[in-house]
Formats: sequence, structure tokens, C-alpha cells
Amino acid sequence: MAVSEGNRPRGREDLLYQEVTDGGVLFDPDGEKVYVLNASAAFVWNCCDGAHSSEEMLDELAASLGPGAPDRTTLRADIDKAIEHFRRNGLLADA
Amino acid sequence: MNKVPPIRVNVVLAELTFPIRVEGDSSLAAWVRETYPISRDGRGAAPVHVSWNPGRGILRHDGRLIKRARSREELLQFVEWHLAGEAIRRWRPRAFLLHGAWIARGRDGVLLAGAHGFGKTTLAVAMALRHRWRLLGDDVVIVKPGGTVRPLDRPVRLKPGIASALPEVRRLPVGFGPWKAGWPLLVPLRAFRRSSGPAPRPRAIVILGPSGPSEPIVRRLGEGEAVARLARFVMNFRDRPAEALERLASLARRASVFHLEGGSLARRCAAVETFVSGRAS
Repeated sequence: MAVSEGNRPRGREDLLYQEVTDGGVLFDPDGEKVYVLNASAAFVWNCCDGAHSSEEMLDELAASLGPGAPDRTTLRADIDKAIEHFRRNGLLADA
Repeated sequence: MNKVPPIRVNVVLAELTFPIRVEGDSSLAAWVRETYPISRDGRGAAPVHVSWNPGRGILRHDGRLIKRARSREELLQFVEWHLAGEAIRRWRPRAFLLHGAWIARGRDGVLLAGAHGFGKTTLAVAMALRHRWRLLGDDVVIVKPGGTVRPLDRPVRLKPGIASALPEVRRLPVGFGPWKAGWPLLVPLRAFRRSSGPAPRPRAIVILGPSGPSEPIVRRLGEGEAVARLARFVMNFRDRPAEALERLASLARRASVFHLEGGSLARRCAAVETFVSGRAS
């Protein structure tokens, strides 16, 4: 499901995030669930600050991966998938 | 029964001292001294009070009744349980407590974590009795600030069923009376230790799944998954979840974390050996 350009997702403030070498771990104290994020999902999570549009996330992710980055279509799909995962699990703040 | 005047014994457990007043039966005091490291006995009042007269055992703490017991075995079980509970309560604010066993070979420590019934104790005891590893703690491990791991060095509780998987336990230098009375055996850790050694550092963490007859399935976990799985076994995770996550991440960075499912006891022991030999992938 594509994320609309105007959408600037924001993560819930009560969630706890811990960076790890291969990505990140999110703890939801509400449901006492732990989510494991791979490196790109962790990057997207850190961009879910209410200030980044998905296009801006895409630009930043591509820049961080450098010349060896996958093409933008692939990266955009990864970003959309991550955001949808966050939304589906109730990890984003209400709009 | 050999009745003696009350005495005070200072039990040392997990770097904490528990003065205990023992009353009624000399064998009770002897059990305390055989089961726990003791610091110099002192005089005067002690918060924990244990007394045994035939058919009547009493355990009190600060004057409050904790347990009445009809048998000596039942009383000893509750004394052990109470002391461990007090040690956990006192460590809880300053460290994280993880369900697991702590074994070591030389400086290489291996933490065996997992849900109840998945064979942590059996594997830990097998590594000690069959492979000469040091068994430093069973049931609870303390993860201190800075990442040092130390065991809650309570006695190992062995249920009778372990003897079918591990007949060697019958050669342990302990009395097996509790099994006849239907209680777990409380085996002091010194019965397993071959020698004191250097304080081990966590080299590997093994999260155990259920055992089975087939070949064990071993999977090395990435740090994220390791943290997520280990969080389930931290007893006081909810007290300070952000700090717990950070502590687990630090642990997962320093030690290789594996998930081990299935496998006979012998195969599991072999797998543990590979985790510190560097042969595990």
C-alpha cells in the first residue's frame, strides 16, 4: 500500500526504541510486545518524526546507502512496507 | 533429635548476607552450613528465624510468619525459596534478573536461557557432570550495570525425573531423602564445581527451545532478534524497560546468541561446546 506524499507519519511517543547493530528493537509497553526492525525499517522508524514525508525518507535512505543502494522503486517499496507495518501494529500516533 | 541452643549463621548468597537464627535441631544448622557459603557467625538477633521441632517447622522473617511446615524437608524447601526470594528482591532495583543458568569453561561463560521446562537445568548439570564445565548458577542470573554477569548462586533444584536423563546425578555427594519424600533435591553449587576459576565473561547465550529426539536445530540470532527474545526472560523488565533493552543490547553485542531447539541431551552438550570453540556458525 503506497503511502501518500503528504503523509508525515509520527511514531507514538510512549514506545521505546533501542538501536542495535543490525537495526533496532521497538518495545510497545501497551501490549508488551517487542518488534525487531531490520536496518531499513529502523531507518524509516527514525524518520517517523512527523517531519519527514515518505519522499524525503526515500531521499535520505538512498543517500545513506550510497552508490550501492537498490533502485528508488525498491527503496520506496521498502519504506511503504515499513510504514504500513507500523500503522497496522498501532505504532504510529494518530493523525 | 539433637536439640541445641539457638545459633546465628550468616548465609552469603549473591554477594548479600542473610543472618539466620536457627533453633531446635543441630541438623538444621548443619544443613544451612552445608548448603550455603557462610561468613563469620555472629551474635544477636537475625531477621530470618528458622526452627524445627519434630512435626513442627517454622520460618519467620522480621517476626512475621512465612511458613509452617510439618516435615523437615518441607521446611528446608521454604527456607531456600525464601532466601532466594529475598536476594532477588534486593537485587531487583540495581540489576536485571534473567531466568537462566550460568556455566563456564575457563573464562568463557555461557548463559542458558529459556522458558520453564525447556531443559536449562538438565543441560547445565550435564555440562558440569559429563564435560567438566563449572556450574556457577541455575535459575536466575544477575546482569549488573556494565554488563557483568553473575549468578544467583542458590542451590540447584533437581527433580527426580532428571535421573532418567542424567543418571550421574545419583553420584552427587548429597542425601537423596528429599526425593523419597516427594521434594526436589537441593544441591549446593559446590557439589558441582571442580575448582574455582577466573570470573567468566559471557561468550555465548543460548536460548533453549524444547528438546527432542532429532538433531538439534541451531540458529545464530541477529542482535535485534536476540534482544527481543531475551527480553521475555528478564524478570524485572517492566520495572525499567528502556534500561533493560539497552543492557540486553550491550549483552547481545558482546556475546554470540543462539537459538537451540530439539536434540538429545548429548547433542545439546556438543552444541554448547561449539558455541565457545568458535566452530558454531
